[in-house]
Amino acid sequence: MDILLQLAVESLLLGTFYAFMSLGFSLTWGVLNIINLAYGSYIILGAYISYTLYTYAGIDPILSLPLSFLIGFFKGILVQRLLIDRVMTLEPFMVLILTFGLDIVIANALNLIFRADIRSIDVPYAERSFLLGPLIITEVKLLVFALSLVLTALVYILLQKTWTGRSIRAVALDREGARLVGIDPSRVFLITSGLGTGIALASGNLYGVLQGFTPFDGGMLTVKAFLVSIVGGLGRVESALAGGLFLGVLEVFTGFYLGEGWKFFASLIAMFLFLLLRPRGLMGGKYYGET
Amino acid sequence: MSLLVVEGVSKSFGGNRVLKEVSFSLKEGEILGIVGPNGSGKTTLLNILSGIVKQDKGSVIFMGKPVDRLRPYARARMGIGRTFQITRLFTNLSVLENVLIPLHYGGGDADPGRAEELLSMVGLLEMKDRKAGSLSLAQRKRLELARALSVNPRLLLLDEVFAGLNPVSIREILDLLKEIHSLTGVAMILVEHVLKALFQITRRVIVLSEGRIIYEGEPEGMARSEEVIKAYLGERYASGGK
Amino acid sequence: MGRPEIAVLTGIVLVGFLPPFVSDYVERVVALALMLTSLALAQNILLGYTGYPAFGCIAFFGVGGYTTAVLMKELNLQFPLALTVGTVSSGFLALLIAVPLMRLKSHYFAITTLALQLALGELVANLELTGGVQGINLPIYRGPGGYLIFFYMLWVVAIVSFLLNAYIERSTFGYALKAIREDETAAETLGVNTVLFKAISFTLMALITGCVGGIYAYWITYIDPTSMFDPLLSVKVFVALLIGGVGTVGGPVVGAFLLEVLSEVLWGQFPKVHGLILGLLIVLTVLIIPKGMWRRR
Repeated sequence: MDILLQLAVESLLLGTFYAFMSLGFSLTWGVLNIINLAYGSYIILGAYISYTLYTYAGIDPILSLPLSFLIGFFKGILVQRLLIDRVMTLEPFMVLILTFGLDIVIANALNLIFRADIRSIDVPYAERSFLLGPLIITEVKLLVFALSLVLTALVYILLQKTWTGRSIRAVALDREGARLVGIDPSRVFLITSGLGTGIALASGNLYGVLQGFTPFDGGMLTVKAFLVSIVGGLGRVESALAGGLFLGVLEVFTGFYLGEGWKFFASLIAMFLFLLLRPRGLMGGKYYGET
Repeated sequence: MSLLVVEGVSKSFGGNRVLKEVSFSLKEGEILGIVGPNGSGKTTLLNILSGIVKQDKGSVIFMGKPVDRLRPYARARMGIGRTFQITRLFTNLSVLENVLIPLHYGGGDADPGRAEELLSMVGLLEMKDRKAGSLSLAQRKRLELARALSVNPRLLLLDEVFAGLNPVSIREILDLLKEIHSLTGVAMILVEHVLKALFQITRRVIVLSEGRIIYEGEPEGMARSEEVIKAYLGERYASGGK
Repeated sequence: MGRPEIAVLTGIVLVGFLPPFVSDYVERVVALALMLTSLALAQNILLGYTGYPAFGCIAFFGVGGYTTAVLMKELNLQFPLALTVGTVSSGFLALLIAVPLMRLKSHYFAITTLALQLALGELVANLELTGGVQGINLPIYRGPGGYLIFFYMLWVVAIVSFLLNAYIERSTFGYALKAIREDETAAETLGVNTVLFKAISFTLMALITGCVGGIYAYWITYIDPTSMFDPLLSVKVFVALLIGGVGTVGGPVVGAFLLEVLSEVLWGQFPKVHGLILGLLIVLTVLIIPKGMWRRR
């Protein structure tokens, strides 16, 4: 019983992080109808930025998180302008190939700079944990959980309460309709790309303190973001939370009962089956990318 | 014997009931017009007849056999041909290939001679090597007709063939349909907005409104039906306008 | 066949006379190019003619390769028999999943096949039968002809794939596929059994891809999950198609040779930044020649 409770708590902590991590992917997919295969390497890029800042300047990854977000925001706008805008009107699989190429470029560039060794951000609180009744709580996981929750809430508020958020949702629901009420979709695309990439890089800071990473871990993270997005449905914060928790439970329980080696396989099979059987997500879809 | 019998067909999309207990039948070689305001379920009915959409309830019987379990391609081979409201040609293929494909797969024989015969019937023979995507709207509609005829149909389903055409083209298509009918004796169901053209080719119409048949009979009777007036013009104009 | 197609076919056939005159290195590069040619032509049947992008086509490369390897290693089967079973297994897997899979379109279809490819890679990395992450060592071929035998096997598969594409370009069978590519609903209402022809098209792609995987496995004698289910290889297939021109018979051949030679040159010149340059090459291909060099007739 205790072990089940422990696993459930681990799932919750990890799942909430996955929810935040995937928000950017889900948002760009829902709003722009783009599946960004480079998304995972954006996260890894964030992890390396915070690694560098921590190792050479002593800046805590939590403190450098806003900086990662800003770098990501401008990078997202740049990539959208220079690359994705040009192929968005072509066959959708062209964007897949383009972003896959981008993924290779980022991973190999990181590999040139940092080598393929596993890096980790060894913050002083990395190993600390405390007992809570029968549970062992790792401080760093709790911290990442709390921050993910706060940041996810911020994104939620941004989407629900601000005009920028409303225009993003309007474009997601109906491009032509949004145009009619005076919203410029291409501007919204830029902002969404910026926001999405910013979230990816910011979540890289958190990922970096959670576990070690190499330049080539991006593909695996893209798959995770994909699974989170497809389980709940695209572009909504609530669905990302549902998807994140699903992935958290799947990974923690598969890891414990079948072994670490099966974790990624479980995610992939879940993704394959979801796409095959419920391509619109469990909650049904109505966003642009889902029709 | 009836060529086509539609029995109590109903269909909903989401919670929205598009067709409610629609029943009618069609004799061999008969021409039937289906009219009704936008959203009355006309195209859905055609989609159910050709098998693209499955009805929730009811049955479609073609040449004495229920076809509810048959996919569209099998219905095409039985002799149900159709055109689309917005033409769905194979735009990157040649005009000739657009006819050869249904001749082979729907009609059972990709005979180039027969293909040219069909193309000359619709007046597109000189364009047989052009890409279908390069045709004008009126030409596209003609090609769709030739394509539908390639499956050797006993029943033609025509979804707004006159829509978007100028009066001259409407006249030409009308003559073409009459010619096809007199040559092949194929039965036709025309879903139509252009009533004037429709009434020149059929003596029998069905009016759909909100998924229900509200009138069935000769075109002249439509103007006298209170239900029809209500459906087209709104409550206000019915019963002398209260 | 038109004149350009005959020229390309003549080219492939002539390549078969190269080995006595070139170094082992060049021979190897040409063999790799022939392999990519077959993979691109296989994908061309599906994407070019039927309109479905199987981004994870290398799933079947892996299945063919691993089945062949496991049969040779565990059951001591002769290579021809093992390769046959490997090829058929790939096709059978494709046939099994084709109907539900091909209800998906466009990038949903693409990503689902990619998920399958990665999942199968993880599966063999976890199974003892397939040697886990360590992979499988195959016996070294010592029969007549030496390593040249693999060159000629890949050569034959490339020619067969080319002829199959040429047949599809001209035949009524090809009409069914093209009709699906152009407008699936219209094709169906005109008598084309789209479910059947989509499944055939997918299975043909898997058969060729699986066969190439089986030959490759025995050729390099050592396989592991990363090399047999490599997403980079999937992308190379697509880039070769894009460079050459999707939906043409000659294009994929030209694209595959160009890409393979180009990446081999890059590999030799800049070994350290090879991956980086390949990535940039992919990005540039999509941006510069999104429609391919070889236009569809």
